[in-house]
Parts: sequence; structure tokens; C-alpha cells
Amino acid sequence: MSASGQDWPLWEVFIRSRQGLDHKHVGSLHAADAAQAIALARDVYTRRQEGVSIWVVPSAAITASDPGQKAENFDPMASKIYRHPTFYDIPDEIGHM
Amino acid sequence: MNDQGRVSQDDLLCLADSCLLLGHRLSEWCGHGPILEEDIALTNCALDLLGQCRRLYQLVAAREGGGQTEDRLAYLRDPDAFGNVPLAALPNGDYAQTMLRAWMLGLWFSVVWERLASAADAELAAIARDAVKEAHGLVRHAGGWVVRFGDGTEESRHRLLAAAERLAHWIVALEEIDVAGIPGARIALEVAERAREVAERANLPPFTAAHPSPLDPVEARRELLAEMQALPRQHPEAVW
Repeated sequence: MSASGQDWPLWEVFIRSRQGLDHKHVGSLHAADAAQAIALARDVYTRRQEGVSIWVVPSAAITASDPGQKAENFDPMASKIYRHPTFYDIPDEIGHM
Repeated sequence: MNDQGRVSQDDLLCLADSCLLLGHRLSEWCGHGPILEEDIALTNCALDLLGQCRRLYQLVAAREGGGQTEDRLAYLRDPDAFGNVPLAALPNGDYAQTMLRAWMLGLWFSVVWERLASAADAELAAIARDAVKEAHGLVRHAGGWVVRFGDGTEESRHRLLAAAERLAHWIVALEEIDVAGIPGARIALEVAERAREVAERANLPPFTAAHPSPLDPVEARRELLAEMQALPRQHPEAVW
């Protein structure tokens, strides 16, 4: 493989499976534009009947949380048990929540 | 058994051989594609064609009887006995030539399979109904590249036009090939009609037989089959 693929933008691929209701992230690929990304995603990710619908999103359009802030973003919750209402009894009539 | 409406063995072999040779040509790019994603996509197209030729060879073998098999038809037949359309055997050349040829043959197969999908020959019609979707996929994939090359950079456009010049003679020659009772001129007319939109977007001039082609489909087929048939000929008992 040549390095020319690095010139093509990266796309994140989401597939809705036969049984699924929502599109799930399955991976990423390089493509010149959105239409080609869909076409290539079909070959890379759905050739074994995994899906019935494909979304592609430019990877550059995704804003991600900073892994360096992982501790301040996510750690405090665990120590504050009042954030996790696990000790309430849910009346049977409510069913699953 | 009812032989009514059956397409001739020669016609079946024309289709099977064309699928096999084009599929083999596309498979030659496997591992050499411009990027991984395209490598997978084109190899999928090659596998589609291989699947189609297998079903056709199986049908030919079953109708011929006498111990004929799909493998014998593909691997042990004399290269000069193959009945493929010449365009299918030509070498890949660069990616522009590969895609232009695949696009044109994809269109040709689309027209043929759509017609045969309602053929009186029920077994062939079943194959055609499956193959038509795959032929459309090949047209979409290769046609997309034809537009990109024609409407891309100076270099890509130059490559596409050079490929068109090399292939034009054999593209025009498709009109001489009648398949399963469908006149070649009729198929070619339909192909030209369907090619128009992509050709316009790629700013691709009409193909003309005026250009002599430097490519020799008979020689190309001999070379391809010499390589493909070498192993089964040397080791007839070899199995996976």
C-alpha cells in the first residue's frame, strides 16, 4: 500500500444491524468524500450481512473529551454515593426502569 | 428433463469465461490497491465475478454430463477454446484502465443479466437475478472512479483519456457479440445509453473504433490462463 491514503480524510462508520434500533460505531476508514465513504464502508463493514443501514461522519467533526481530564471528569462520581440512587426500592408496579 | 428454452452451452461459456477472466484481472490488484479500503472493495467485486462464473460453470458441467466439472472447465480447457468477450481478457494497465474496463463490462453485464433474469431458461434466469445486483455494484464502484479520474487532476484525466484510447477498439467491438439470443448491437446501444451520465460527468469523449488498440486479447488470455492453469495442470490431484 502506498501512503496516498493518508491524504484522504478519515470517516467514522456507524452501522445499524438487522435487529438493532440504533446505529453503532464499528470503526473508521479513509475516503475522498461522503459518498465514497458510504460505498467503502459497505465493503469493509457489511459484507457479512451485519447491517441494514450505514452512517458516516467525518472524524474531524467529532469533539472528544480530553483523556488527560479523565480523572476530573469521571472519578468524583464514584465517591459520592448519593449520585447513584441504588438504595431506593422501586415499587413493583413501576417495572423496569 | 425439459430442454425447452435452454440457452446454448457456448453462450453460457461466453458469460462464464467473461466473468472468470474479468474477476481474475480484478483479483490481480488484491494486495496492490491504492489504499486498504479500495483494495477490499475491488477484491469484493472480483469475488462477486468468481461466484457468478462458478455457478455458470456448474450449470454447463451439469448439462454436459460425462464427468465434466467446473474446475475442468476453468483449469483444463485450452485457452484458445475460451469464448469470453475480448475486453474481459485485456491486461489491467494502470488504475484508470482497470476502472474504465470494469465500468464498461459492468454495464454490459448489467444489460445482459437484466434481460436473462426473465429468460425461459429457468436455471440461468436464477443466476442472472442474483448477478444483476452485483453487476450494478461493479458499475457504481468503477463508474465512480471514472468520474474522479476524468474530473480530477490533470494527471488523472490524462490517464483516463489514454486508457480510453487503448480500450476503445475493444469497447466498440462489444456490439459484435450476440449473447443468448440478444443481439450485440442492442446490448451496445443500451450500454451507451446507461454510460451517458458518467461519461458526461467525466467529460469522456465517445469511444471510437478509429483507434487501433495496442492490446491483444488473445495473447493476454493465453498469458493469464498459462499462469492460472499451471498448478492444476502440473498437479492434477492437488486439493485445498
